[in-house]
Amino acid sequence: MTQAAELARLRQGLYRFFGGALAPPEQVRLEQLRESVELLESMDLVGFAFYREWRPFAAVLESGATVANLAPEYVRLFASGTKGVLCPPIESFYRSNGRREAIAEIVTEIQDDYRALGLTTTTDSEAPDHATTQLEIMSTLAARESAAWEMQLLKEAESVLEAEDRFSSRHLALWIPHLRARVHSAGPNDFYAAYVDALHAFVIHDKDIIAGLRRWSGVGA
Amino acid sequence: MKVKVLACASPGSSAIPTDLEGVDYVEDLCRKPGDLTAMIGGADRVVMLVHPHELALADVQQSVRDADIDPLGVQFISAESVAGDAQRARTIVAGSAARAAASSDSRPEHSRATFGGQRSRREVLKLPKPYYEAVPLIHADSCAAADGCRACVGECPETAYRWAAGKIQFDRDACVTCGRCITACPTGAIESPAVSDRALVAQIESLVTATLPHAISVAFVCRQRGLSVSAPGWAEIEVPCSGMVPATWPIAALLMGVAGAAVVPCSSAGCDLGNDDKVAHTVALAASLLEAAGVDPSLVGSSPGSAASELGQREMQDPFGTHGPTEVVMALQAISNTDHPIAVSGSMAFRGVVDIDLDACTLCLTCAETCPSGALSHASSEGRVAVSFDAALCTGCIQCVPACPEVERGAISVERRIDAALLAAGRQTIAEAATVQCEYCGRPIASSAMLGRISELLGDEHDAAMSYLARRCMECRGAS
Repeated sequence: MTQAAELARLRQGLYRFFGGALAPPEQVRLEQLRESVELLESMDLVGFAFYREWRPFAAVLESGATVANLAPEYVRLFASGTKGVLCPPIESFYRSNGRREAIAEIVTEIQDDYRALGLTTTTDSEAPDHATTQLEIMSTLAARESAAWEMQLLKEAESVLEAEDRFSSRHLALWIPHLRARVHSAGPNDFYAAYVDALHAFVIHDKDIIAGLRRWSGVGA
Repeated sequence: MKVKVLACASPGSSAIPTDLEGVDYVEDLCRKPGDLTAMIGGADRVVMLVHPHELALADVQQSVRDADIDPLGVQFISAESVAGDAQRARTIVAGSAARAAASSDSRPEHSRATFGGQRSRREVLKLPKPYYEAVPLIHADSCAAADGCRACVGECPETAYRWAAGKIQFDRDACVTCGRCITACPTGAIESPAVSDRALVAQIESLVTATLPHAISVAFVCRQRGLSVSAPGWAEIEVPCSGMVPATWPIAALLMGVAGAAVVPCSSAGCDLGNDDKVAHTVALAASLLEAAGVDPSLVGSSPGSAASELGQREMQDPFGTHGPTEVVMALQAISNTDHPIAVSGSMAFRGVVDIDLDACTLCLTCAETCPSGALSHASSEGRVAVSFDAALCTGCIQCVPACPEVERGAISVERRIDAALLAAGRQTIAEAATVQCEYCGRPIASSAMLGRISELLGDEHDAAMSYLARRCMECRGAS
């Protein structure tokens, strides 16, 4: 596998990992996440700047996060706590500024973006603007990119990079910083505070990596 | 704060003195930093004496990161800049260590990944490890873009900044990391771990307290171009770009006790940002300020010189920060050898003086509401409204001028002038008028000057309407 394909494969895994860590906590999933940490770190993760925020989250995960202690926090922050959802992990919440009519516009815009990528969300998945859905979309694009690099379809790889750049700029990179700030202001919680720090650093970093790859391959030069 | 200092003991390298105390020498550190993580474990910051052209930056950054140290906080010293005199080399190393210890941690937004330049189609697949550069971060909470400020947009030599609908949009890809936006920002909203007031103060303080046969001089040099100053008695102060250095920085260094100060232009080293003119103007302005204070202007230059300052050491709070320009001028004024206040005018002056023509101004307060630095402010009290001005805060951005609705009648003008007397004067009222109160609710309607102007514009035939406007406020007219 070429280095470019390997990097895309690593990023595919990271997006999937971050999506999985934001799903409701389950024992099986926690174990999978712990195994993934080992696997991802074996792929020279320390070479990337977001490792400094990744490692504290990996440490919290490895140090025995359990469903019993994560579930109440998950509900309090992201699901339906007694004070309502404190930190909705959905894009429209952060971009609508409380205007209900704007929510529909934003979700429609996101679904249009999915369709432009040849993708659609199913009715049994999270909302189209949920972080896990968007992370999965980026994971899918990174998988396409990896395949293109592997088959040395450079034009295709560059085209996918452009799609990743556009999607990240229009969505994740736009609102994940706000999610991070909101989780930090929602009271102490080691796991999810470390999670949003790592996610935020990764999303910012990956947008840079995509731009760097485009410059490297000559598209964004 | 524990700082580890490492030096590359590359085979065949003779530039780095080999007997510096407190320095660990590592075989081929620049090219094979394999064991670096173990060597720096337990430290908080790292200083490395390296051969820049051989440096495997991505590998070094990875090793530093693995040791849980911020890679963007590493201070690199080029072998050339410490060549020769071991005592001078020790002083430079101590200065960099002090700077490293005083530098703040970077945030994810500061790191920009780069793979290198464009390659052939075949080479594209062989992707190297990315290395990271520090890019500026804009703090939206202190950014004055909502007031119309575009200082960063105007200063950026590329097109990294864009102003749209009261917000600054920053294109990280387009940024050339020159840092000119940092010193141009009137509110201190832009920062980078590559340079900070605290770190520069720490470095210069360390340099001036070193035991040397003669006082040390400093040269602000561009980090990106790898220029080295190896003149005896001189030490480098690396900055992201020599074009970001304002005239007050070399003066601040002189006031902290260095013997001489230079800002080194870098076009000869291949820089295409066109900073040489800017650096020449910066040096000329610094010299003018020194001259106005009766101090030898040749203490600052664009290359290491021979003049030596005896200005002593002045305590300053924030000499390289947002309020540094004013503080430095006031500190210079304090040691002035002349009996008149420092005053320098010209297009490069970093302070402005606002003048309001009371015959044309209507006290609409738009200028004060637009001012990004808070130099212009307004206040209302019983029956009066006033605009005040603090020259110490004015950056001469002239944003107030186009914002003024009476600009064509010359209601407001700004002269770029550094005037120590005005800087010391503090906030002064520069326009004031009575307000006309609403007959019904008693709240102010507008200033008498504004109502007078409206009356003038409407003319005699609208006396009745004017009378109505002057008696009732917007709310009581049902207009809001």
